[in-house]
Amino acid sequence: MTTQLRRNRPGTKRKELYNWPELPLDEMDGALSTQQHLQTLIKKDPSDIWKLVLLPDGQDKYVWIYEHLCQFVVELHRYCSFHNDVWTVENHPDMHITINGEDTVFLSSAFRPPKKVPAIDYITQTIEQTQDTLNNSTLFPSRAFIPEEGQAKFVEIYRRLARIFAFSYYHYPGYFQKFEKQYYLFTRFKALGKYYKLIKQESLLVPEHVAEIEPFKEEPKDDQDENEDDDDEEEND
Amino acid sequence: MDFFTGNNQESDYSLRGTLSYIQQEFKNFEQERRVWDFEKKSLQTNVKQLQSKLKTQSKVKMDLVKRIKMLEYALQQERLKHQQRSLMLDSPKNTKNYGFQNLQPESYQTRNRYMLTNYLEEMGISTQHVRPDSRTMALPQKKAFKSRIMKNRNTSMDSFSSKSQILDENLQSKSLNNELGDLENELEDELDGEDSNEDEEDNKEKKKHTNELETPNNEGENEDPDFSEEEGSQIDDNELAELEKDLGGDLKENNENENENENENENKNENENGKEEKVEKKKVLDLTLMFSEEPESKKESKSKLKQENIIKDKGENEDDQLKELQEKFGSNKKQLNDKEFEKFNAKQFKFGRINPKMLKYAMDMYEGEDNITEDKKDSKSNESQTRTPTQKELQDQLLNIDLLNEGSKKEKKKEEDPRKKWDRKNVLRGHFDSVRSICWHPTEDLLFSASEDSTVKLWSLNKILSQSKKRRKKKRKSRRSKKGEIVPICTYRGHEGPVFKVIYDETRNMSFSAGADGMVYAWDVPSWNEKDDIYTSYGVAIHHKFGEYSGHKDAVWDLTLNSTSGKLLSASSDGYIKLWDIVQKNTTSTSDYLCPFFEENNLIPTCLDFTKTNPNHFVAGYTGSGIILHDIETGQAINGFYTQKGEMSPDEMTGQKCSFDISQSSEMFTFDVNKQINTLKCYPTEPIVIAGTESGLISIIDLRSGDCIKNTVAHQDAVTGIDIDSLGKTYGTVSHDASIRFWDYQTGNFLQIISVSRKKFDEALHCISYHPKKRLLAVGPADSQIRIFC
Repeated sequence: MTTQLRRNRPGTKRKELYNWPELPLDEMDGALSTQQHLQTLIKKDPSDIWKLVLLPDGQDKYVWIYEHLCQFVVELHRYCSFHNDVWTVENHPDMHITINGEDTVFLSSAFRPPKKVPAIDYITQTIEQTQDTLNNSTLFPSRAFIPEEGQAKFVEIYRRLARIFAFSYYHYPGYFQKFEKQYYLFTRFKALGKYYKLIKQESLLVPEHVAEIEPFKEEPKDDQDENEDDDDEEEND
Repeated sequence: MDFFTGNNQESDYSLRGTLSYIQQEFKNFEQERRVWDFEKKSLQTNVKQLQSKLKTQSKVKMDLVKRIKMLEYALQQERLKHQQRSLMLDSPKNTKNYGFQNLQPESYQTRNRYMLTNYLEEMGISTQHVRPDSRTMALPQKKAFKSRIMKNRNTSMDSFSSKSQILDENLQSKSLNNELGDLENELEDELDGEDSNEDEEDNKEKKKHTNELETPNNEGENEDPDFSEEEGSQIDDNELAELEKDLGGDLKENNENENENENENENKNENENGKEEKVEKKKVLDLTLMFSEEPESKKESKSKLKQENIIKDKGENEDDQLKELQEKFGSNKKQLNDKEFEKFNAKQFKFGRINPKMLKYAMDMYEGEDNITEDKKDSKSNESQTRTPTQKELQDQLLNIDLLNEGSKKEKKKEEDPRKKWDRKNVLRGHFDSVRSICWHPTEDLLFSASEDSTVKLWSLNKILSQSKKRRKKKRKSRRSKKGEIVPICTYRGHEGPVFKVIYDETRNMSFSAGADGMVYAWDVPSWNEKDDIYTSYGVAIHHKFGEYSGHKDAVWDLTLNSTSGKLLSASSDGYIKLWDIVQKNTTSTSDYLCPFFEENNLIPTCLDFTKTNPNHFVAGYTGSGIILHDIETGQAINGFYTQKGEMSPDEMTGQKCSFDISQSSEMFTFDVNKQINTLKCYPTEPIVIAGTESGLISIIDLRSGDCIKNTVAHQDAVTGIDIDSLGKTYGTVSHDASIRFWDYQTGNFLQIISVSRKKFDEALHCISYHPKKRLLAVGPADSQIRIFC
């Protein structure tokens, strides 16, 4: 019992939750080390975008993206609760976004054929669908390795989730900014998506200046390698 | 005189005299008959025992024969390769196939024998004993077996007459010898008696036995066109026949079975010595064909197994057997070809354990020469299926049958016995973080789970439960479609942070959850049926929220509910336990409870539970090694109990008093998270609480007497969850040592351990929950995938 155990015992006070000494990634073992590492980083500082986005040493790129996506879904549940008062059926009977004068109505892909549903249902269904996709044992059988079928899903997931942020941005910029200031969720989402070429600026639907961060330039070598990988991936897509 | 003598004669044959004579005779006869019956029964049991022994012996023997054959072939191939290399012959292909005939037989034989004996020793097979591995016991097979027995029982008497008819026909068609005729007579006699079942069965057994004996013989004599093949199969036939005859003889004479071992060994030696020269590649082909037949014959062999064992039962399967016999023997006689024979052989072999490695080796060798790919496929597909029942299993099955025969009531009890081992059933993937709490819907197959990913999810297990009923059909379906995945039917969001506890209120059909945000929410349970869409439109982000209970200033860690009185208790790390009246829908707490030593020791409640015996009492565990019994009505703490005392080892506490007076501050009850109570659960019928601590202890405390019934280190790490099965017979505990352990409540004995290896930081398992009505168990781990056991 010399070392402090990293666990939340029943009775732990809120401010002491997850309050354990940081464990370096290479000292973690087990199948959940990537998740542990990511959660530690987010807990420590969600605004340290590049630390979160860049691939840690010895990690698989797709596993890293996968863990990020899982984390996005967790936080998007909270995002919904956060918008609970304004995202109502009365306010938004459909998933309707106007960008530069162009109206777009999104249909929920949870139904076949896709159905026009209230915005809030579109959002919750999209999140839940993503959650189920990410938990699908054929697409993502393991947290240590992502097969190609799973990798191919990332782009689709990204495109769908981007609409939720855009909806918040266009309809409730106040809420959007407030949440962003606290959790940097969209900033992380955008940086990760763009860095790993999972989404294009047009598909993000929001103007480029939103949540824009300074490009990462410290390690150009890594950057190039990643870009090469990404190019390959783009061809596949 | 005549008259006198006539009188005399009359008196000799008087009615009374005759009657008494007849009565006496009848009594004698009855007595004899009883003796005879008794003898008959004892003989029958003997016969049964011997038959089962015979079966196992023959299986062992077959296994050995098979192994030897494979070994022989492998050795030959090795020899050939060696020969080839050393002599550098001109035509390698020929030598591959036939080269070994050119070898000097003596050196070949001796070397072979030496290597064989060496190998057998290595395999742990001495020439004295042969024991198949008991580890290959296949549980599912056993289960199927059991259920079949049940079926048999139900249809017992009805099918009796029809069976005997079929039996008669069968006998005629076979036109067997006098022995069978005798048996038939016996059978007819027995039809009157009530206890005839056994005899009938015996007859069948014998008949079947003879069938089996004759089938291969016919085979070998009549239908083998290919010389080499004939040679190979003849060896088998003779061996089989010999063995069976030997054993059969033993059986009739009720000899001791020890001879059989010797016979077997002799046979084995014969195999080793004599056959090596004769063995040809064809034989291996035979072997492979046998194996390729296995899947088909599997079912048959299963039913066969059953019949061998279910001697007292009658049922449909016996009809099947008879049909089988008819097929084998009657009009289909002509069709008995090589395949049939091999089927038979495969059946025999099935009972022995076949070493898959050996098989593969032999197959590989074979392939290397001829490149027959089909066989390879067969062998590979069969490798997975070569798990066969072993001697041990057969014995187990016999035992089971004995148990089952004792009475159907016992059977049912056995089915529901919570002490039965739990098997992994399913994994529910849907959460993205540690699952902190789970609870079952008491009547439906719904499961609530609360996770650190700040959601509560509702799962319907209908699908997997129905899947098990129609497993075969559904398996195909689930392969086809993605819908085989179990996804949560409802996600409750609203908590801003980890959710630590979820409970279900039966009376009001609601669930309550509590989390790090200090809120307690009440949720409606959506009505849902399987045909509905997975994704429903609720029109609001936080849906199904029924009410909320705010008041805690810090994380709420535990909830407990008395469903009938509508009282809800919540334990928070702000130090308070709050009581809520959910009937009045009060959103403020009706009363608060503090640990008596809160200010002194900063003790925080970690877990609580209502006692099931007194609705006004509840127990709470604290961040020390103590438990406090509270009273709702008076608002007072009644009594305190400690689980650890100074330097005393945990086991020493067993049987001692562990209660202490609350009014005096106790030194035993100090703040120590390393000894804190993590979880507790009240026994359903007695004022007894089972508590698990951070130090890995499980304490069973009698709340009335204050005695510590049991106090023992149960896990290597913190105990995090305890649940008692609905019958109160067993309880399960989960721990951060990543194991689920099951214990017998009465005896305190350890029953089973299941390991779940994945850890997140230093957390592994958080909660365990028994289904109140069904044999289902859910465990919530830190790796976010809920495990279901059945």
